[in-house]
Amino acid sequence: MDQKMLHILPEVSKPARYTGGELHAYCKEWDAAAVRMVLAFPDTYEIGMANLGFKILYHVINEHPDFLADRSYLPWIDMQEKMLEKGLTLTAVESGQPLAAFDVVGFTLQYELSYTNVIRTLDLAQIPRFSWERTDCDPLVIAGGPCSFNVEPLADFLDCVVLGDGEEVTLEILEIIKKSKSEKWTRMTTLLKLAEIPGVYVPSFYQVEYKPSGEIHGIYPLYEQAPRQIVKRVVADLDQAQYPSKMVVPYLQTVHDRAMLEVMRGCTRGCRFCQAGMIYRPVRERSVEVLKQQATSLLDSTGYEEISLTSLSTGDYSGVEQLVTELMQECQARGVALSLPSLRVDSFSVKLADEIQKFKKTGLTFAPEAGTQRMRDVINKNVSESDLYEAVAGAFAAGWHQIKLYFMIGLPTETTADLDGIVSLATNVLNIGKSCKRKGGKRPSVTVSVSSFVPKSHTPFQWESFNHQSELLQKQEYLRQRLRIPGITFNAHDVKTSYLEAVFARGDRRLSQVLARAVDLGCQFDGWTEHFNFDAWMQAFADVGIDSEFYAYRQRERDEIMPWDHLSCGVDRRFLWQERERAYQGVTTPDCRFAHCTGCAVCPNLTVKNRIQGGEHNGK
Amino acid sequence: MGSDIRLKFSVGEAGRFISHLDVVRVMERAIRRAKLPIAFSQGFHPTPRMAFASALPVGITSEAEYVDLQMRTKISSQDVQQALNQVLPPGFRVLAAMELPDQYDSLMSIITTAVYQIQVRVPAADLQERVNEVLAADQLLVAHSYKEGDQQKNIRSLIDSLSYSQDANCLHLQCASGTHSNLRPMDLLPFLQLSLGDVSIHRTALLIKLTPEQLVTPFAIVKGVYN
Repeated sequence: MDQKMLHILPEVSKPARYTGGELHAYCKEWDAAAVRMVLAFPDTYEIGMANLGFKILYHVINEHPDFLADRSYLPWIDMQEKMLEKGLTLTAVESGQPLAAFDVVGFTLQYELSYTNVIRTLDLAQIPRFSWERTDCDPLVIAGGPCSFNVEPLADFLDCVVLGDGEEVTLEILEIIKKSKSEKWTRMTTLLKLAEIPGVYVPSFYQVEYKPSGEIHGIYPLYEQAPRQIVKRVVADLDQAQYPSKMVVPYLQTVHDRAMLEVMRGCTRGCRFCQAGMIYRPVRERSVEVLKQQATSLLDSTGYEEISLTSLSTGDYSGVEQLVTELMQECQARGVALSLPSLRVDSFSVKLADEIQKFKKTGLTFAPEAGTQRMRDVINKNVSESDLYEAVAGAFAAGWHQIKLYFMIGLPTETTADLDGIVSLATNVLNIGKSCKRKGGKRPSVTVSVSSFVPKSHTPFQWESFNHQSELLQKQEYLRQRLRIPGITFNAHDVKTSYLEAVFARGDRRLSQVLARAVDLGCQFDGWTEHFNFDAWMQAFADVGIDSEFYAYRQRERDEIMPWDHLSCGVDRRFLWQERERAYQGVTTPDCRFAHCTGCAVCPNLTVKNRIQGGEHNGK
Repeated sequence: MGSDIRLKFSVGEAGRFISHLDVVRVMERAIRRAKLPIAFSQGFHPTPRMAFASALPVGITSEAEYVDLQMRTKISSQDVQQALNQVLPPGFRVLAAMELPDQYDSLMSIITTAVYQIQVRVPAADLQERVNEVLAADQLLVAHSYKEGDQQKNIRSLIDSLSYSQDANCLHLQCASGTHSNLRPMDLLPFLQLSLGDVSIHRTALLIKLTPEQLVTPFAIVKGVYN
């Protein structure tokens, strides 16, 4: 390790974030690799280590004999200051090589408020920020992850972007780069070749023209290699996909520091606010057999004391009962805890949770999302009031005493009655708890968590306006007043943070300049409350001369060209509009796993199908 | 009844910057990977029965850390040592292992003393003088934050011996370590006009002080070989 680094490490918080050397880190030989890629996580080590996609790609790349994948994370503020003071650039944790020495720097975009961290990473790595500033000697800067479906605000910084599942396309990209290196292609030639790979988007190959009113007039490919529309990549059969049998085990306590089993990808419940429910379609389940094998090898290799069944909605996995029953036997024998991070609002899920958590029953979380049946029909959250009460009664009876309820405010068509609905649901849940309370048992408590609805691209609500900040604050206050009830705790998500998320979630590439300016003004770690500086952000918008309200508050017309119209997750825009119409009519749409096809067009567009263990329509 | 095993292990460069709680997790996970028959605590949240001697301050390497493990079944100390060394992550190694008798005192209750080697990595022309000053002082006051607020603590009485070898540019420190009184070696550095970045600190021994002259290791005290 660098001598200067050795001096710095004892003086920063949590130095183990920067030292690497964890169990199962690949640490491949630098000189032996034909192509070297650093997976750069635009947040701290503790957050980055929790990301499953990162673990999968790290494994897939390193298992290839020609390719090397290393990791880097954004150093915490104290470390950044020391690095700047001593003139150090950002290095990868395993090889200790500067990021600029890699062929590819790959970011994962999980969340809009990490965009400044991407730029900050490039700055600390002394890699030119803008794609047009980089030359043949600079690494290719690429990105993937959920936010790549509207990556336009980062368009100026990225050389290329991957849409959809990364397992296959990442290797295809690295093959091209290998060829590019051996045949000494120019950067331009390489990018043209990359643009031909399905699912790869090269932002600089598109020109966006605007109307005088500010809306987009058109998005035009500049080269014949650049398709009019980039369609996401999808792994049809997850049982055949590579999955790590070993995962890097950090020394340091990280977020979700446990073994992770990905039981399925995708969700077709069709909640109209939910971007994940659209962009990860169709549903692809792994088989119980494969999952059991993966669980055994992961627990053997890592020694983790906990294993979690992850997916967008694990309660919907068709083999969940069998899987849980069989895994519990293995887990109990090992003294390992099993966890189910996402619970559906029904008594079946509570029964499952009860099976898993025989002891240590503290909190259980449910997400009814809205306070009235009318509102839940609008958002297509197919949960009834009686579902919730049954689930909660089951939970209290089984010994849980803290119930957390998630809601959104600021949804389209919301009225005061919907807010009152939140109050009455919470009160009723508390009363159920009181009536279930056993003598000497803990007093029931209910936590109501309220976030502000942020319209996202590729959803039926992509046309909607973000509720005005002042209105959201009033609604929060309205709820706070009415939820001053002993036994109920009320939490509300910061409105300014949501506002910024709303701007970038549907932003276009003109926002790249705002991001650059915001980083210059010191914005980074915007997802961390203690570092979020809204005034600096407003300054950045003013300096660049961009009206943030244009992006957040404006209701879009049906036919408006969206900044992401050339980026397809396979779901037809017509379907999204039809779903929006049904929302306003209060008509729900069933889940295509259990009923008829809803016409989202993912299956024909991507030539894939829902992959349900035991066949389609096998579920509840 | 199962075996109780005492381990002596090292923490190298890769484990230098992790906290004591992290060390506990490293050991627990290694035990699981090795599939050792560790006993678990009863109750809502079963945890493996391990008892460590002391917390190694962050930033220090060591060749003398100790932990006692309670096993559910009979297992030889060599088997435990071998199994763990196959699965421990970089930076950790079991150096020795011994089986404990039915009755023994916990490591935490008996450890009194630690020995450190402090390698100085910057030129230190007058370090010997500063060592002399430290040894001559009646009081060395260090600010400590307690629950009740900030207080001054005199660390002079915690130092058993301190010497400097000019050729090796290395300090040798023997001091109090344990639940009764404890000196974090980094607290001494400001009095020597050194900072944490200037040195590499390595723990070479954890000992039990029977009399001011008689110090024994956690292995020796069980074997009774000091008599």
